[in-house]
Amino acid sequence: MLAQLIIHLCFGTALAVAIGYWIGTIQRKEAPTTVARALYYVLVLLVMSASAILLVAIATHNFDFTYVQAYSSRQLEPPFLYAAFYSGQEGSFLLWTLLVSIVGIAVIEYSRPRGIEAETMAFYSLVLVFLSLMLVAKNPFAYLWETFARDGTTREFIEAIKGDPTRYEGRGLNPVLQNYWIMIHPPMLFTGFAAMTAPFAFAMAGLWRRQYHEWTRLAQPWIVAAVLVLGIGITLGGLWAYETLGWGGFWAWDPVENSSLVPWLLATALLHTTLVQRRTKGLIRTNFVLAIAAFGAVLYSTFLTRSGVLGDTSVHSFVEPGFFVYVLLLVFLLSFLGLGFGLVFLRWRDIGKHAVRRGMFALSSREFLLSIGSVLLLLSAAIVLLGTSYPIVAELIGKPKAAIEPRFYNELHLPLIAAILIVNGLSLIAVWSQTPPVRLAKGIGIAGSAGIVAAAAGLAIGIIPNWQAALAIVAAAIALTINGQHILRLLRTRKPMALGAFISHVGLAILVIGIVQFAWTSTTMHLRLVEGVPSLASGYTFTLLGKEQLEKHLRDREKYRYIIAVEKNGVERYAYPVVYYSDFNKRQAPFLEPGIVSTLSHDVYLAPKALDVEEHSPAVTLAKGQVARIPVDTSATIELLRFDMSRAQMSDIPGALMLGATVRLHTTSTTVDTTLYTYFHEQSFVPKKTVVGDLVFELIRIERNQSNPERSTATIRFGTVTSPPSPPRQVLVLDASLKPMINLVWFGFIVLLSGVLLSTVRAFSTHHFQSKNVQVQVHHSNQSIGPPQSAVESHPAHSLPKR
Amino acid sequence: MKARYLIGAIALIAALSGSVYLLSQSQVQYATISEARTLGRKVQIKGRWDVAAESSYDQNRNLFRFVLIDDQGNRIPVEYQGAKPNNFELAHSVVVRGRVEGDHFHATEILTKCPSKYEGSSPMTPRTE
Repeated sequence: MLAQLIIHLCFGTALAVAIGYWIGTIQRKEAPTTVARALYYVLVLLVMSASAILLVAIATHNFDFTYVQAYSSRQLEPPFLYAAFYSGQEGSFLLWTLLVSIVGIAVIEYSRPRGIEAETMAFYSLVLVFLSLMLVAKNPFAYLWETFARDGTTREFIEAIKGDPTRYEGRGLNPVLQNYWIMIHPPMLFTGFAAMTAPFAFAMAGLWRRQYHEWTRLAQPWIVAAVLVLGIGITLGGLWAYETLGWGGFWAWDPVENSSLVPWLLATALLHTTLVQRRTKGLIRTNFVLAIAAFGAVLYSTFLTRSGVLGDTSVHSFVEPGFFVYVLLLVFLLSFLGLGFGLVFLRWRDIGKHAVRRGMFALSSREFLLSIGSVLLLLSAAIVLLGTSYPIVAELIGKPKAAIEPRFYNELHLPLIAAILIVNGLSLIAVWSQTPPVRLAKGIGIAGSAGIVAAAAGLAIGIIPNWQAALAIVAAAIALTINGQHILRLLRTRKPMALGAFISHVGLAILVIGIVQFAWTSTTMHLRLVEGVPSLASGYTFTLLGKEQLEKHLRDREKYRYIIAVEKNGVERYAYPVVYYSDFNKRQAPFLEPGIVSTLSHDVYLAPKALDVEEHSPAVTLAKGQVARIPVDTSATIELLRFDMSRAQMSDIPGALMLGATVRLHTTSTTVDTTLYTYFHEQSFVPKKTVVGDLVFELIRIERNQSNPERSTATIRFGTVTSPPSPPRQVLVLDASLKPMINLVWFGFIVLLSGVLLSTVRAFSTHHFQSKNVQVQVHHSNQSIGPPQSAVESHPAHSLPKR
Repeated sequence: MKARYLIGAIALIAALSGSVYLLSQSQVQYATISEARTLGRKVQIKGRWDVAAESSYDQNRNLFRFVLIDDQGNRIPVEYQGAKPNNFELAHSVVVRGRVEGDHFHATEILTKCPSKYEGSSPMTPRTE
């Protein structure tokens, strides 16, 4: 009861905070803002206590709560137990609210000394109003007797079964989610989403106050931070898919992946266009629109993935949340887009008075090339958005329902990324305002020849498969060369903190080379590994050595890791694909995880597909009434008379079912009816030996045909007293892939993100140390290094060319 | 200035129409079995697995065969290049992506849709005998 009350209080407080800040904004008085700020801290405490209550409920297995019952169980161990917090919709909205409210404290502390707290927080708190309203609608503290009232579940009933741990038990967490990635990937994404709220609020505050330029400087650290955190989140998702889910790659253009990529692309474009505005006073409207669109993309992403509209086309499918939440999410999205674009529209003419100065945006200027680069990023965002939304678009325009193949994204992005890298290179050769032709020619000459040399070398050693790939490689080489030159120059002038942008561009170029290589040179072989029998594929020898059981203390699962020796040129390494059965799906189908042998140049990637056993001793499979010759003594026959389930519950092995098949043995001398037995335990059969005369029988499998019991079969293995039947060998069917250059892909991601990290640190620190001294120094360096570096870019007023 | 915007606009329109063209090329339409037969191109069919019919997996050729019943009750044998999907028995509906080849449907992908959480009896709801 308390928890539900807190959720409602959150909404009420958020509303009060918003009203307070709005009064402060409109009346331009300090008092309402002070009250709103105090209330804001109350709100943060409320959200924190709601989160704490949920965490405690999960940790203490309080299955009275529908949410706790649906996403955790007693068998779930920390840390995965805590991941249940955000494994469902309600909890992930709570996490999002929590993170937005915490980021809000930083936004208050940041905007207050700069005199824009009321306006910024007026818009920021509106987001919290909506998020907390969402929590009221999707309350994580709903009780079972509320959720399932229609099924006849009552509070008394739940109380009555509390003593019975087999009935008062949670459903558990989907085994796919039970690995370390879930501890970090979703919280990272949500932190990224929360961080995207800040630039939106700064932009809206700027619009409100008609300060069209100042906000870009204020928002810059927040934009870089959002690009960083969201980028890390997206990368972690890729690692998860590759390492654990067995997708075989790091990016599948899945709708959920796509919808987190779009805000990232928009924020990255915004990062570059606000840079242009700080230098040229141009692109004012563009930047407002982009800041609103980037935040809108976060909301749209939430709408796409949480409303159930894409239910059929995503692997990340969530349970349908109900019509009310669908409408609420849509209203959430449309109100913020309406609010944002509405205010831009109102200020449209006024902004015009502050617009671009003459002499800027010449074709050879850096600002022009940066704008083109941003247009290309927007194009990428538009393509991803179009493909992802297509199922909805198709429905709206009355076309037949369809899915989009990944090749749509791949084929468009190959030329696009080449263009982005080339424009990136050119924009760094160019200088602001107008580039002297000599400089342009020299820069292009050096970079272009580097690109051509790279392509020629690549073609010569055969690592470039076709001209599209060659184009991407040339573009990457150009970007690498030019950014490399800048990095060397900055290192010589001892400005390591200014390296961020160039490092991330280098990372992008490395990433592109890695992806192109990865996409064209990965090879996959289908393998059927029989225990102990070496198989040769792609120059490697694969041998299945056996399996060992993991996590034996957990009764809700049966988890094995298979041990595969991977040998090449006398070097033996081991891969450990995982196969496990879980109560989550009643152990009806195994969950599979790939085994990976990682080397510097490539990965050997073993994705299990199916399990089997191979009989060593002869066996026959019979349906009822069928007769077969006994392979070890062909003068005798065996007939399956019937199945005998009478002793099923009377097994002498605890937990096992004892299943029987009655057979008629017909030898040259006699005819005998006997029942063969097998123990069925945890999805496998353990036969009981039956000896008749010289012959040994083992019933090794019963396959029941549910729809037609007459077609159920029994499989019987034969041996003789002198040569008894031997147990079968394990067979693992898998796809063995060679993944060259996968490490280059990861390395590219890491370099890209470390560059952004450096920029983030720098952006926040330069805002704290704005002494005159630093600015003079920076201004000076501007002239000594030639092209202005990003070092000066946060101080546009000092480095703009004089009119 | 004006000319530059014009060039920009033309380039942008070209890029967008290119993507729309590619979009139309890379969609895989949902179809019924009879539609799939007449269309001949790559489609996807939603349906369920015919439990009564034979299903088999040929380990050596890595070929999984089963019979699909679409929402209209028509049947078609499906051949899929790959092992039986993980959750196949559990799936209450399957989506196959591929094309009709002769008398069977050659699937390049199988998506399985599993029963959502609250279906079936939970230990927490009173049993109705």
